[in-house]
Amino acid sequence: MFTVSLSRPDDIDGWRDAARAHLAAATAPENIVWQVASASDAGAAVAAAPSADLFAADHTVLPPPVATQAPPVPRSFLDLAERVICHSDPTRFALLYRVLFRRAWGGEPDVLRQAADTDMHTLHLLGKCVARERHKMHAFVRFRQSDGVDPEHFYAWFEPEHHTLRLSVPFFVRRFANMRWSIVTPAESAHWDTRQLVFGPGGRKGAGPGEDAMEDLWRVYFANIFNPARLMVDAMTSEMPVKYWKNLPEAPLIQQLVLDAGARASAMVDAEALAEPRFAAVAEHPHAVDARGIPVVQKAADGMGSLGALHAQTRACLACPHAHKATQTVNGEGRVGASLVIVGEQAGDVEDLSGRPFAGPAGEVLRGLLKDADIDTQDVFLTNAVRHFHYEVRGKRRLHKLPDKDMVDRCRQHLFQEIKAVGPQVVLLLGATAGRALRGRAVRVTEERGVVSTTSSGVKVVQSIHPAAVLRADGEKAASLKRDLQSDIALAWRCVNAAVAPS
Amino acid sequence: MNSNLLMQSSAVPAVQAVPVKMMRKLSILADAAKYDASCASSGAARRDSLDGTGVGSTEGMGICHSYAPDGRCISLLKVLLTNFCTFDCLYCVNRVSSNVPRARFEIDELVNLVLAFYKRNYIEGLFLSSGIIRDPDYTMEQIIEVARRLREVHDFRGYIHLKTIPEASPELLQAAGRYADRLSINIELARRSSLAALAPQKEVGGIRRSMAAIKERLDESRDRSHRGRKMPHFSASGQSTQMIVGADKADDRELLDCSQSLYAGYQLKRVYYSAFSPIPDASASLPPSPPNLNREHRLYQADWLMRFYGFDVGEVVAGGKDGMLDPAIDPKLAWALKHREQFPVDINRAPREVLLRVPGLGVTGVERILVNRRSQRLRLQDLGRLCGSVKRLKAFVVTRDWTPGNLLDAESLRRGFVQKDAQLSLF
Repeated sequence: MFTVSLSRPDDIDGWRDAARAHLAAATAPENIVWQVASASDAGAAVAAAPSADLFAADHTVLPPPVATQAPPVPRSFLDLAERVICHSDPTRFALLYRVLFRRAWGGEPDVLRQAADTDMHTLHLLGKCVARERHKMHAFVRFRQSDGVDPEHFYAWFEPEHHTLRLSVPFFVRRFANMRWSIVTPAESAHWDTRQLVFGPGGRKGAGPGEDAMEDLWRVYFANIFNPARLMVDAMTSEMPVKYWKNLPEAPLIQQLVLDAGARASAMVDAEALAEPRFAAVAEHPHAVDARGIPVVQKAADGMGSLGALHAQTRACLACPHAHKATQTVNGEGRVGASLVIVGEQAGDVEDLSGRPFAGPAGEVLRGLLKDADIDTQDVFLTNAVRHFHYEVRGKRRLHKLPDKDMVDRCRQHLFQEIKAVGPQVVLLLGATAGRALRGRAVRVTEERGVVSTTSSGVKVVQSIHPAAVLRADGEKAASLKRDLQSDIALAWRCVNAAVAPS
Repeated sequence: MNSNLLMQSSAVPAVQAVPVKMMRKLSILADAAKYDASCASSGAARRDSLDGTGVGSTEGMGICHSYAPDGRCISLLKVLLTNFCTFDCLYCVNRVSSNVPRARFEIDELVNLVLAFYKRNYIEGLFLSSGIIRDPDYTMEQIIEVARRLREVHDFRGYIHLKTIPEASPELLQAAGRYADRLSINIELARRSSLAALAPQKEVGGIRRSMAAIKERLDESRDRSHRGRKMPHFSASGQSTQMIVGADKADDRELLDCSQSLYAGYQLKRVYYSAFSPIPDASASLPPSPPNLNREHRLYQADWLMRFYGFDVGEVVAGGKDGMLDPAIDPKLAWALKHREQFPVDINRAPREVLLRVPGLGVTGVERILVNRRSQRLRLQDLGRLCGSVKRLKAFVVTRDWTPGNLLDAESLRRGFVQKDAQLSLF
């Protein structure tokens, strides 16, 4: 029979050294008595050592190692052991050793990985319990400032259920590195002076500084952040068990808050709105929409001209269901009087976020071609047939969806009004949606591209493909589509020059 | 209600050390902030004060330093800088037409309060919002100044969550992100027409535009510059929002659809659902009923299923009826009961995504099953150790020693899961 005497109830180093030696010697778990030397954990020592074994307590010599080496213990198990050892359960040392013994000598090499094993399951429960206690200690330690001490010093009294002081203090060191503080528990205390951490003997309740004036303010906060209409006492006590209340300055308020909650909540429900607000008059509704979500046209002229007024109106438009899920209306961009209007399909992901047409990858293709053709963007007005991004969500991404006929129809009036306000010589239509929007019929882009037509008001219209088609194709196909687009842009620009040239 | 600065309790002695004026301000400005559900302090980059001059650390996981009797975590000092507001959003206690008492913190007054609370380990940091005074930019500047002083003057390294004001300028958004760990702006109502009706001065698109602007900056800060230099810090734990539940007629499908569009569009970390709560001095046009906390709870569960369990809005809502989730059972169970043909699932063979759909199995439990079934064929008892309890999942699984038999087809299966709604009182 061997006895291992550990220096503290959470003496992980002592346990590890002894466990290593006994494992190497293949000492059976039932032949070791684990105990804690310190008087503060007397309970654990007595419980771990049945009376008969007390007489065997002098066998503290470590056994000689046998020839075979025990396999090294994985890091993850040592992490678990570090927590388990802080538990107040007196069987923890033996249990930790037993699974290592089973792994090394019991023909169960995988036991540490088996969460469903009874021993491992118990260890995980103990570990979890300690991790929770450490977390609650981080949460519920309350410092009080010591009176009249310079430089300032903070003191906390805490009564942990397990031996978690040493496990918890690194957190306080990181957080309050430049503060002087002490955390005192019944068994042990920790002290930090901005440079060094020192452990000392335990203390007793009430030995520290008295009420801190800040506790009053804290209680004011606690009482007022609580919404009496949402009383859920069980949820509170499961996260903040009553055993911690004795050292929390806010806890004495809880009973009264709970008792008053019902009356306060029904007072809010019953109270009728006062007829006349005391504080100020209510402002007008500047962004009114009607029941269908279509903006009510503002009558006041705002000096922005008809394009500005139109855009102010379309910005609030929610006529299509998909508009509710878009960030914003993406209106056309450019100057009134631009000679060429280019119409795309609809706002895409990037356009939706930035609020600007042709801001995404397809826009990059278009802008590149305009530059190659030496077309000044000052002379171009860029817009879309459909002003809100239409998409479906796949996982965490928004994927472009073709606008349906209704969307195109509803948005058409905005496009017409915009073109009218800009007053171009030529309109270049990119893709089938733009074609449908302007012409009011289905368009076969491959057949109709590169063709010039004239509207009743004398504006020339050139149909082309959408630059996104270039991006979707590869290799020779992409190059050929790009050439098509390039030649249509050149055609549109020739029409502009022909229109503005003196006849 | 604010006249009760402290709820009268005999256990609290009266101490004169804190000016009554400050108590009054804090009571008003905390009361005004409590309808914001979020108090999270997770997800910030790890940092501590070891190489600094002030206090503070963030450890990845936030800490709840207290719990209010409403069961909500108190992690941050959640206050308004002022509850004066020029807007008249009908659902809001601070709207211009409300008769609540008003107050405003001086900037240093609030900064000192944060530090005093933090040093006593009451809080993880600050959650600051404000009524809109003068104009959006001025309000945003005031909010940023509190954060700036905490970070730059006091080297405060705790958590800061700032509410951004709709329509504040991009430069101010940038500055806010420099000091904050999280930015948020509330979507308020999923249905835009409701927002237009209830919050007439808020330009409907302004909220989403601000989210888009924050998203673009978050993306930028994650990219490196073309010289490979790291971009300046910007709101490391991202952005979140809050949606009010039950102030209008929008059903659960609309709310979840809206959430899905927000998660995908702006990479939100969280959407908080807040059951519309009666407020003091409420507008007559809102439902004067107690908040539907159960509906809120089911929405959170559904949101979780969408983010971590591979469900889409349609599937989640299909568990209930008429676009509403089943109020009596959780949405995963509701879905399973309507798709019994897909069960039972063999715990020892089913792939991960199928296991995730078993009622009573969480993400952690599924991971444990995957690891443990490699070395042994699991029995029902093993499952209990791995997942906590088998009560819920028994009817839906097959193990080495268990098949549910006709349990799964029983008409009464649903009834067994409907819990009696009994909240035990503590006092």
